Amino acid sequence: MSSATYAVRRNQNLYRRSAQLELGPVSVSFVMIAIISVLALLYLTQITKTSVYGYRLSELADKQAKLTAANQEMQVEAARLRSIQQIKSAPAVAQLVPETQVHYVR
Amino acid sequence: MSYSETVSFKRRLAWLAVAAAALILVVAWRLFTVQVLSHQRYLSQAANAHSRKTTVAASRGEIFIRDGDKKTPLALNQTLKTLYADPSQVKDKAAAAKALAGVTGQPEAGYVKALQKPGDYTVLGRSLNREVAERVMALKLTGIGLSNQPQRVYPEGTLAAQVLGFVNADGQGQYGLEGYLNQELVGTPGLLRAKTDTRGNPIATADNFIKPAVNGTGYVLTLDRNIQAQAEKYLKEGVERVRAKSGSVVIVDPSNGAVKAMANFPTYDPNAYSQVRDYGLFSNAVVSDQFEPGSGFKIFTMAAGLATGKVKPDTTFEDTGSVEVDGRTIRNAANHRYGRQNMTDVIQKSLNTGVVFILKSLGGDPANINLTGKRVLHEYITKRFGFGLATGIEQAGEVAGAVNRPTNANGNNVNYANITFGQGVSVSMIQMATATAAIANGGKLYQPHLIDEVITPDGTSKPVTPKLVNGNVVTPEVARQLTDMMVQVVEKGSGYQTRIPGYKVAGKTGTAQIPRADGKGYEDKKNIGSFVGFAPAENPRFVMMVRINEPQTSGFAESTTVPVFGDIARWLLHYYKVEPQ
Repeated sequence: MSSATYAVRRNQNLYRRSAQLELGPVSVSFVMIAIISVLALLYLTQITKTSVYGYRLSELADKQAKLTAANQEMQVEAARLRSIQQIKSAPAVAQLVPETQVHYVR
Repeated sequence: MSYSETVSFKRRLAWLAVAAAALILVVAWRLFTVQVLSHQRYLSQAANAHSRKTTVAASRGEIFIRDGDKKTPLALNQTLKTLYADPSQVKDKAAAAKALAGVTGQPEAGYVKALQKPGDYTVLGRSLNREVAERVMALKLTGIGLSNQPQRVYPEGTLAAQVLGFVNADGQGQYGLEGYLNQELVGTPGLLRAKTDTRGNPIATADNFIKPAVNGTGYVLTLDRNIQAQAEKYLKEGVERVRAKSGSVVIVDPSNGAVKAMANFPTYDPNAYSQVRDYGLFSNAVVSDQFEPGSGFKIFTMAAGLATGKVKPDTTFEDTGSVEVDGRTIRNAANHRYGRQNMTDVIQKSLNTGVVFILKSLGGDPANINLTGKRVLHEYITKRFGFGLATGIEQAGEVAGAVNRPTNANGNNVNYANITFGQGVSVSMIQMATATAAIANGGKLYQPHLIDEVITPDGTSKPVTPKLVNGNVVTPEVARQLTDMMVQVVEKGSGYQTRIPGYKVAGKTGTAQIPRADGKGYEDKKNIGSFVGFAPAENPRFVMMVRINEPQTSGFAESTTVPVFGDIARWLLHYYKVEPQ
């Protein structure tokens, strides 16, 4: 065993004191206030986020209602354009002649 | 401090204490009234201030019509806008009116007049479409607003108007299918209860409550758009040709009871129902109008005779032109007298004396009418052919008609003699067509129906199964004999105008008198002409009944209804691509 090794052993602190964190009443108060503030901030952030989503939802619902109305309007217009009355009034139909005799090809 | 000062101080202190106590009592009382006595009132006020309850409207079920193999819309929904104003909020009325007139195209003077009305609400316009509504919104006029206005739209206009009915301003279906199926079509409204911000906008929170709306049931009809349009066209021409008061047509598929067309003239546009002054136009006369069918009813008397074996097609009787029943004389039309005639002649020549002979035969006594004969006839026309009972077709206001019981005082021998040729009995056109379909298909009575498919709120379609009411009204052999007799009506009798080269058409005319309103006899020079028949006779594709009310031209049904039947039948045979024999 070398002399250096002995030297380390000699200086070894055989009794270890555990580290103790001690906070006074003022520090505890500050920590508590900080924790509560952070939690309140988190809560407010979440609430705000929810409200923003609520408004976004309302906007989307409005948009959906407008699109539904537009879709209905176009469906009605398409149905009107395809109606028998419209077809009868078409210029091309006015030039058609009624069939007089039908022959069936077997 | 002297003694007097001390006393004065204590007295003032006492007064202060009393005043403070009084103040505390007042505050306590006020708190008590607010917190306890008015608790509910303030609670609801607070709730109203930060929450909102909204009804979520359900979409009304849509109605479609067949177009060959496809379907096309007959009744749709559209959300239009109502333009309103709070005149008290509109500062410059003339400028607002000018701006509105610029985007809506309506007269400026009308808006000025409306805006000068007292009060805080006035309607400036209805049924604005989306495009116009957006232009109005872009004006950003104070005191002018737009509200949603759900509206039922009928893109086909007058097509099948009386079958459809309409939806009134309160959203309730009236007449026709809209009236009959209103509960199913209207759906169930939903509910939204939500916390709101200061502007009343809903905010998403955990305690919001949403009960979704359930949309109404939709329907696909059995009606064929092309057949319906052609039936309406030919009916209109027919009514105008004889200057009649009105007319109706119904076309039924005899293989299942599906109604292919149901038309009335005159008609109306359900998009503009509020402009109709004659409310009688709203009724579907095919199902809601009962009338004496006249000679068309003879086929059912003959059916009873043939089915019971009391007569056969070649059974003969002596036609003397009239017959006596309990002191009353019943004559043939135009007092015709033909001598010895068989049962085919009875139908072909429409002999009143012949069908009275059948009634007598039903009772087993060819010389007299008796209770047994009347009972047999009653059983056949009510229990088998369904007269006197509503068919159950999906239409509001269906009538059952009336057939007197043989045991009632009204069901006397004279009444029953009249019933054999369609007088003293009331029926609807749908009953006549349904009963004739039972002859056309060999003896099966199907319930007439207008609904082919049901579209559930989740969008799935369910086909409707035809309902067989009676599978053996008459035997196929009796049905064939009746068909042969009806073919003779077209080939040699009053239905000659429906003859179509290459096809056998079966039918029967009827010209009925109209009972007077006072119940004493019949109207002079007024009649109802009808023709009921089917084609091709050997394998019928359709049964049709045409009715023309009070034609102004002279003549029987053969000159009023038969041409209309012929026109439609000719077109239908080509439409169905039925090859000529």
